[in-house]
Amino acid sequence: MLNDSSVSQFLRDNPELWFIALGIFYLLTYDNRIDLFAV
Amino acid sequence: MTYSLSKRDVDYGPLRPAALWRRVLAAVVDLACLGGIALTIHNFVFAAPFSLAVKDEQMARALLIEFLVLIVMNFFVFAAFFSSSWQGTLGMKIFGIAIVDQVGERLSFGKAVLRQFGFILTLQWLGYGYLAALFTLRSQTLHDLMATTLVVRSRDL
Repeated sequence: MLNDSSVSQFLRDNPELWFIALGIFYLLTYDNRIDLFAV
Repeated sequence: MTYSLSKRDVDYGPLRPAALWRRVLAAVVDLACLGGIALTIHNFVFAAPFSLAVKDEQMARALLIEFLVLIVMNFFVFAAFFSSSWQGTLGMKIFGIAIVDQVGERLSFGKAVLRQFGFILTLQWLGYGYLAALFTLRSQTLHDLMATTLVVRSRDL
């Protein structure tokens, strides 16, 4: 039904890459951080 | 002579089903992660200090679209995790549980997507589908039954 491309196969074999990508994304958007403790 | 079949009488073989509390706590951890991820993406989309106050109609529409995109993304990212080499999400890894199919193998992506559709039904009415795990012999929830999957202790794999 759903065939895997090599990219999605690679991501499924290395799920920690999702979190590494998210960490990079988080650092790249550092300037627009939500200030949860803003008064 | 009585024929009461309880969970104690079942021979599960090498793969024993995971306790429900592990599954619920794993879901709580995943939900907390999801909140942080959603905030990060929300930051990127709006690039402005976060405010719960919806200022105008345009912002309300943008929030709604963002919300829908996040839900659809999370649907497939979770399916990718379920069919990944972890056989589960981060929370499930922390609590030592993993998803297998009926022969004890890793799920295919299509099967993980099918399980996600079942999860939509499970979530309705405050997650009543989780209660099925208390009454089925192999502790399967509603979405497990629909996709014929099983959640087991990952140390047994």
